[in-house]
Amino acid sequence: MPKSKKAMSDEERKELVERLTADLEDFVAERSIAARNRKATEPEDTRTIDEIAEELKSHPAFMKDIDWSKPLPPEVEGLMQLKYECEDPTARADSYREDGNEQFKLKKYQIAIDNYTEGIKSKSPDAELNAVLYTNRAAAQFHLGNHRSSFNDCLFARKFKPDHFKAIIRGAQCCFQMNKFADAVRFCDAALMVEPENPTVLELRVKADKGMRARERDERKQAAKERKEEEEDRKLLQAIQTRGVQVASMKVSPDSKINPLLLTALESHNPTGAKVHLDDQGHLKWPVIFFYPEYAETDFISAFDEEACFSDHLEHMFGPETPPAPWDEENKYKPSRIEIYFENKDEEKLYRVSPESSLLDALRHKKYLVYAGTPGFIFLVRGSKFAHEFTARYRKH
Amino acid sequence: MALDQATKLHLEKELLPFLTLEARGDLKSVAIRYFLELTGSKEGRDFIAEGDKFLKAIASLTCDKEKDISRDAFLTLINLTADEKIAWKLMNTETTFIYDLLHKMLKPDFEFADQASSIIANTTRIAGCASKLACQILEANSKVTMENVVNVLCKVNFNKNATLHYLGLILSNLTQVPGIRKIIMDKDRCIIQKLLPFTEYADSTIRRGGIVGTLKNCCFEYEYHAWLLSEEVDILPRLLLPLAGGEEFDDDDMERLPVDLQFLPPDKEREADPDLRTMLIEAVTQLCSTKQGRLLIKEKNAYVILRELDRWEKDPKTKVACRNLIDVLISDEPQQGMEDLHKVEVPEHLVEKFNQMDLDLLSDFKEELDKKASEEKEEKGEEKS
Repeated sequence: MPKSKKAMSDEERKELVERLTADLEDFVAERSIAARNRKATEPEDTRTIDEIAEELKSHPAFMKDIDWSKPLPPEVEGLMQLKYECEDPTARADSYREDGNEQFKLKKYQIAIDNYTEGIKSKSPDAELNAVLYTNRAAAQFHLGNHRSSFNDCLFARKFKPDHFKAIIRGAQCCFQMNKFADAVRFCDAALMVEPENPTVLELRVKADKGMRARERDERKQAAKERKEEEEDRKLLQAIQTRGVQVASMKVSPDSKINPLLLTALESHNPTGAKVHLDDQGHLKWPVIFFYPEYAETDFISAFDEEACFSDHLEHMFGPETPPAPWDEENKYKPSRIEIYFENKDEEKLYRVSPESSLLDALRHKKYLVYAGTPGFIFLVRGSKFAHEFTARYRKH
Repeated sequence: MALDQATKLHLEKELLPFLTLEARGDLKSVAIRYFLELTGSKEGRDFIAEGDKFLKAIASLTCDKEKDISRDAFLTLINLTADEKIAWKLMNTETTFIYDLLHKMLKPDFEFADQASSIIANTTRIAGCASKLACQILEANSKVTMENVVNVLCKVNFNKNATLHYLGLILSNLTQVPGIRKIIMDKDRCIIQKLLPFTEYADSTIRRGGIVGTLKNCCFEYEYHAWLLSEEVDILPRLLLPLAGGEEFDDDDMERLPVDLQFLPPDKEREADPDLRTMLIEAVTQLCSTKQGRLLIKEKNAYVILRELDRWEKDPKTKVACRNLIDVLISDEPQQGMEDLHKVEVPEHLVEKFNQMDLDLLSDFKEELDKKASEEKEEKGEEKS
């Protein structure tokens, strides 16, 4: 059984308008503060909320007295001119409203907007008419998908008539389309103060509330992901520090918080994007690059377990069961003949690494420095002419 | 302060005439101040409430134009209504006084809104008074609507000079009355939905507690369970959120939870007040008394929230309530015809048995928790030495 809608008494109506006015002023003030904090330059309607609100104060619909000691606001001056032109601004504005409505029905929304705009520019002192003009323009903007402009018009409409239901519900729809769910709920609540049982508003509020909570969940999910990544990064850095491995450009004290720059030091620039990481057993796995300067060739190991020996990789890469590398013209790169070096760039010296060493043994060498998160090692063939010449260069210094 | 017969007579003959709006300001001020101090003792309060004269006079002074006098009158009534018998008497001698106070405090500029709300909260603790006030609110020509009460309560900073925290308690008291509950749960409006975010309201335990109490009372309307648990209201996550801590769940458990309970941060804190935790648990327990509600609450994986709460909980009474709810959630479904638990008639001897089991469980928990507490003390003692 449908409930009979109780007519609002004059007193109740007045109280409602006062409450909606206070809420609207709070909303605009909050938005003004938020906009100031953002300091972002927005292309459309660059006037700040404060400037717009100030301008509205001098609109004829709001003025109560003219302060003759100050220059007349352009609107009032315009009104006085119109007085002598014997043309009624309200009649003109209303005419534009009718024309706009005709175009709206024909779905010619841009022309409708132009009409409503001219009606607004007429500066009628009729507050309700101004509210209707702004609301209708908001509707046309909404149909064109200009939700922000539509929302601003809703705000202006409510400035003229805070309890204008169509402006409130349109504002709620705009906020919802812009995914501003909390604001949508707020506008729905304002609309329900005017029409407490409006099914459209009730339904929209449920959707907006749901959207708000889903977004909050997504924010928490993102925060959880970041916490997890940060924890993993912390463990990684701790593991590296604990092992005494030196990473170029990374200087940390045990108590320092994770600095993004520290992680940059571990960013590798290899094509696969592989990065040092901890495996399930707590072993570090490094992307490692092998250099063969004799032939200007390289090999890349994407995940070299710190506990694994170089000899294991040599057997796998150059063992009897493996065909020789295409660039190994003399077929002389054999596990038993390969010598492993790393270069200390500061000293311009080569240091020898035993093939029986683990990667961790090599990285712990007090002269070893990891660059770009990727340990690098030089492979030479013992007794070869190139090896002799190559090592001789370093010995001269 | 002893009240001998001569003093009583003096108060009635000499001071009572000054407790009128027309009396001279300075004399009125002295008189009301005297009565305010009198309410510091039970003897004094009982004396004031012996007849109607003093109550009527003090109530009238709440409208005095002199702020200090009306404030003292309000404070006097707050102290008097803390006594249930006097609250009942006030409600019945000044039949519209409480209603008129409620109407006044719902205006944003009422200066004594917080004092008024304390008086109304004290008075409506009594079921008879709450019922009487509810009838007045529900009258056709009433100027107070429950929707407006909720709107004012949900608009923090409604009154620049008052917090209105006790309005939450008033709402809770009024929702003891079924007619009030049904208004708040009007499916064609949006009233109870506005209360839901306040289960996490941090600035006032009284406001938060009043709203939790209101929601719990509403959960006794079994015909509304399907609606309360539907997306239109979605009451369950708001009841569980204050009971959830920062524990981490695996992906399967997480996905089954309502979105409001997913990915809570490690520093998420539970409701600090054990009485409120108990009320929240009891509200969910009521929702589990219907088959439809119970199945949905199981599906929403409420169990994992309560499991972690049970591990964390240190209040014995709350722990009992939590265990009872967990028992419902992990039990097999009742046999056909007994699915709606609130309709099942339990034999008297079984009721006594169940109550005894609860008492035993309560004392077991107390013993266990005391033991843990003393062990922790010993550990701390060892660390210090």
